Amino acid sequence: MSSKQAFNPGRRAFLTGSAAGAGLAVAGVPTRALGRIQAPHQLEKLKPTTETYGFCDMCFWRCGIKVRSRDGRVVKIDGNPEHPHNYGIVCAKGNAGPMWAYDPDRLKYPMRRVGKRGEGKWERISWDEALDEVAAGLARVKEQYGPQALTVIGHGTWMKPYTRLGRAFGSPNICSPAFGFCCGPRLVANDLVAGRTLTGNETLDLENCRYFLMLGRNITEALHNGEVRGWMDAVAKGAKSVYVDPRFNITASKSQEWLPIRPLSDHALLLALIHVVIEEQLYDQAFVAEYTTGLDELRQRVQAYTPEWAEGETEIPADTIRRIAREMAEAAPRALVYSPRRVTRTTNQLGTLLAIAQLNALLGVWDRYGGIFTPQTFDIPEPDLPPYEYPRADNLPEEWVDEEGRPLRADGAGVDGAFPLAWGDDRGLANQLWKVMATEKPYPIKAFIAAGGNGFLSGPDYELVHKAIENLEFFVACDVMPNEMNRYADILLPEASYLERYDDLQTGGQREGYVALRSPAMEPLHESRDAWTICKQIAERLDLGQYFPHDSVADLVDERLRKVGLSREELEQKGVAKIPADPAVNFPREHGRRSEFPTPSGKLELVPSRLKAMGYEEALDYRPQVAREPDEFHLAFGRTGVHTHTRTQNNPWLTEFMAENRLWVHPDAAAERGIEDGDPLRVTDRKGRSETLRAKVTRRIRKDTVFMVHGFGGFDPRRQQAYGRGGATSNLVSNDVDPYLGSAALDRGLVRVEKASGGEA
Amino acid sequence: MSEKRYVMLADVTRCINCKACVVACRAEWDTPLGHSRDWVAEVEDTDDNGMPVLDFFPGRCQHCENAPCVSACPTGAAWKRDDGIVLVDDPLCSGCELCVPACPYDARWLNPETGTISKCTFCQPRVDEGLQPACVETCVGGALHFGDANDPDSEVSKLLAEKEWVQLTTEAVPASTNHYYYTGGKPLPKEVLPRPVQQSIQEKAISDVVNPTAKIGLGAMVATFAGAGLKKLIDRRNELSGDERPAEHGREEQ
Amino acid sequence: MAEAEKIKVRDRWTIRLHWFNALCWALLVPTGLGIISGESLRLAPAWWPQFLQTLFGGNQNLILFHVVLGVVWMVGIGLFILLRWRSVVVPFLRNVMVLTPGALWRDLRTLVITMARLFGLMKRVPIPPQGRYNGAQRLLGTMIVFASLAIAFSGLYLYFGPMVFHFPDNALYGAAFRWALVVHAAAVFLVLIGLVPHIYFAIVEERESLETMKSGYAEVDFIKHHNPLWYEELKREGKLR
Repeated sequence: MSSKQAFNPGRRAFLTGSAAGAGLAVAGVPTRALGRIQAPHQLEKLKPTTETYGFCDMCFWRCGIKVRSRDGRVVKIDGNPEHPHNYGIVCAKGNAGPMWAYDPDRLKYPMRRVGKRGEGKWERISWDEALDEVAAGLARVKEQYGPQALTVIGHGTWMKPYTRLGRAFGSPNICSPAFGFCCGPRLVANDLVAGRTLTGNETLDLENCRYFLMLGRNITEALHNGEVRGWMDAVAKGAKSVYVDPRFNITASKSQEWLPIRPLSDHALLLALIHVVIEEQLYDQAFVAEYTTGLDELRQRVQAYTPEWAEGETEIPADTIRRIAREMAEAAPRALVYSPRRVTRTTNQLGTLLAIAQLNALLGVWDRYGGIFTPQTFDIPEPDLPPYEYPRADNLPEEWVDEEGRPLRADGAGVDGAFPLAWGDDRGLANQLWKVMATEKPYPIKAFIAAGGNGFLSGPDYELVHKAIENLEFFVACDVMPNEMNRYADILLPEASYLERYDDLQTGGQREGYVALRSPAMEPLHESRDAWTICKQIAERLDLGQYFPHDSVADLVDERLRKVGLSREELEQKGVAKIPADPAVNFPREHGRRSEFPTPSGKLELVPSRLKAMGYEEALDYRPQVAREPDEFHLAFGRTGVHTHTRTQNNPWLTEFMAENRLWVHPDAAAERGIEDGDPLRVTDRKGRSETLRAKVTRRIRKDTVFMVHGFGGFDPRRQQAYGRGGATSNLVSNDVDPYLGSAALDRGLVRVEKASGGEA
Repeated sequence: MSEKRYVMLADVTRCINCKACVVACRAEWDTPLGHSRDWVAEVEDTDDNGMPVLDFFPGRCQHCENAPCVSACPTGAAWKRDDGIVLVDDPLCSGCELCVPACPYDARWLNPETGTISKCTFCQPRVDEGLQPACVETCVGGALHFGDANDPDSEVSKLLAEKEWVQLTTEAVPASTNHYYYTGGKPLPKEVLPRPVQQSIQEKAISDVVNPTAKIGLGAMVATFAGAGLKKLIDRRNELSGDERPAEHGREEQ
Repeated sequence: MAEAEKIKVRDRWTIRLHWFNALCWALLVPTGLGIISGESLRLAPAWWPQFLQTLFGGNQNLILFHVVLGVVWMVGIGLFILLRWRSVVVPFLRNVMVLTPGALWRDLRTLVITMARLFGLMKRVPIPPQGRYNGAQRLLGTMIVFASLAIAFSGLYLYFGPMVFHFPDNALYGAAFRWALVVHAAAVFLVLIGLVPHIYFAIVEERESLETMKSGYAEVDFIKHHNPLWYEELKREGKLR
């Protein structure tokens, strides 16, 4: 019955409903314009980690870090905001630290060589076996040749235990590349002129400086974190930076002026600048009068070095040179002539660095804001140890023993008649040492403890290093990673990385004095052991255990800290303890105090008396370097912000940015040789050595120069990422010498470049 | 309703292409190699004197205001928090990648390990605990800054007021972002400008075919049958007013 | 008037299945519309997914609800298909499925004439004699069978696909998901479009059929008038007095 009703509410409802439905559909049409919806969502939470303080070891600046770990695994490295090296910043390499520890190609167990040196055949042995063999090998050499026949070559804080072992053994031949291959000339030059050094800590008041003359100091790529930040702050505040380099790199891009100087002519530019500064009396006259000696003599010496003369040498216009001198003087004392760090370039680096020191002196930058400051140091006494005994050596040439008949350094560092100006502390002249080892002159070196390092990829002469190693009777290498040099060892000892160990304290001088602790963030992987323990255990087997009286380096550190009222535990909470910056101490002349220059005269010696005493005044003169043939290039090499020397080329977090190096070639030079960007090239030097790598064709380099980043060209297949990638600078650079210092002159290489055939690279 | 507006500032004049930000981000978020949540682009040019010019642009998700990825996401896994951060609600993400072509900065990618989308989140888990994003904290040149632009005392507010900051936008895309750049007055190079928003063919199918057809079809259907019902109602009324017995509709005309 | 003669044409489980299906759809459609969040993909106005997702405490919960319901829907129908295959499903399919061009043509004609007559047109054009289900019903039914399969399988892949397959391993997994989204939406909307006339005819034009879907009984006169071919069939089978 109901179905036949005329009209029932159902239909009305239906009609209303459908009208509503139509309305809804219409309302639905412009939905896109109504924007995003807001609804509840799940949020990701930060996973908890534990933090351990330390200092980085991915390069030599050693920034303070906080290492975050989870479940015993290092996951992230942050900066320590309190550490004066970096104030919380960490660069790409520092951030990539975990992949150093977790590198699958790491040395894992002690190994003994089977087969010939360098063949790459090993058998795994126990630590006890290995340490016994090391002690036996060293003892044999000592027995037969004397303790001076041992050399220890290494680099850095963790070298300390090896140094102690070597000295305890009785050898003076403890060496690190830092002086002879890197900073030596700068240390010596500043010491001669000012009695003070611009140490590894770069005590420059960058953020307040108004004018930088950067002589190839590629600060944005040869990264020191705190240093870059200070420089960038200054530039951002309007400081002028003049960047002098055959190559337009990132530092050049941040500078206002790029001077593409002819390679190896920096000294000429400096001499001309000094000439202008003196001739036009642009120097800080009051300061020079009060605090310096030798102005007149210097004026004489630079008489001939006019800007016009310099233009001929440097290809920098004379007017530019004059203008820069005037601009610098106007900005002074907030001006800096900024030398590079690795200054082992020409056969007169002493002269070049002296000129820098002279110019900085004339501008009065010492102990002024924007100039060179006086650091404070946190002095922590060393532990009490018995004195080192260096036995007499009766089998050595007379010139090579001291008054008591004890051996002098074989590399001649600090030795009269050899290289008296070079520092004969734990650094010495590594470049000379390889020659000593190869030639067995002045006396043979028969045992070698390598504390890290890579004599092949980081040295200038493969043949030399080969010969040197051949002459050894015993070679033990301690390292985290396998490399081209430790491939030749008799015994390989796997070292714990910086993330896995305590180390002796880091102290240094900045505005603040500081002491920093390195503590382990993870257990040592595989069978690795920390350097200190390795050295202690070798020492004990050699009856030298009294030089390693502590049970562990953690105890050693604690003992040292307690002597100044601190403790290891305390330092583990903050990572660093500091003496606060004191502007009156750091910038005495800004606060009515005197500057101190501990030279013989007590003043800045523009023509250093000790230089004259040695008869080395001629170093103050310009010495032209190499004569390039028209079809040759100057070989320049340097850094990139994502790699450290030869260390990081196996690190995938860094090789993602640069897996190989390229040869920078100017487009005109490339066109002349039919070279296009990316083509494989063969680069050959005058000795007939050659390397292959691919071309980067760019205007950002002089036409007469080619450039490559240092650290590539690995030929040890154990480093799987690095193997065969790019070309090795070490097989192309010059192995000349600065005759005054004995340090290396690496930038005098001249090469020919051609397309490599057959697509080899 | 949060009153914060988080922004990232990149000072191109201070970026030195050191890649610290990229490695820090990778470590912080366990990003597999082959992908990255952030990057630094290198742009080379020549100035009026023929001298080379190099600029480096740190890049990442720009946390757009009307984020095209949010618009393209079926489940709301791509969503924008009130404080401006565009996030990935991981449990809601199927890995369908509808959002990937939508991003004009190519900032989003399918994580081969998790099977969900990864991208810069302005380090939201860190920010929520009062920390700075990892890239900002580690930045060597001091180029990166991060903070609340709605807080007048914040560093970013002061920086935004001090200098002229621009966004990476074009006429096409997108209206506004939460990432700013300072170039020292130089115009933005085309290399760093966003590409147009793209749609996958499936998104196009839904937004341009399925949905419009559904709306039109449903509308037409409802209108048709509303009309039919209305006609029936009118006929019925007419019959009634004509004093006839209501005919049995539909049974007469067989 | 005498009581109209009725026969039983539908068993109670079939009836229950129909209403089960309707109920599931009534819940699945609004929740489904509430899940799709991005403006570019959304059909519903923004306030709907916002309201629903907030109500459920997040889209994850809403999706779970929708999927559980969807699985219940599939299981329900699946069980019915399994248990009533011979008795109900096969005959139904035989009566409903439009599988030949000839049938398609015939049913389309029926549809057009029926629609026209709603508006007073084509009054004199004869409707071809219909079987158990008329042309329009057959077209709708065929579409719903295929659409339901598409919705079920695409829906399964949308939820379980990302769990079962590791999408980064193969670009096809993600592509299949995106197409599944298209198919799922398109099929649902197709059914919704078809539901408008379905509901209209049930409520307005042929109330009797609604009654049959409630009681299971149909008037013999109705069958004779609307579905003469079926009437003949029933007579042949001796189901009529």
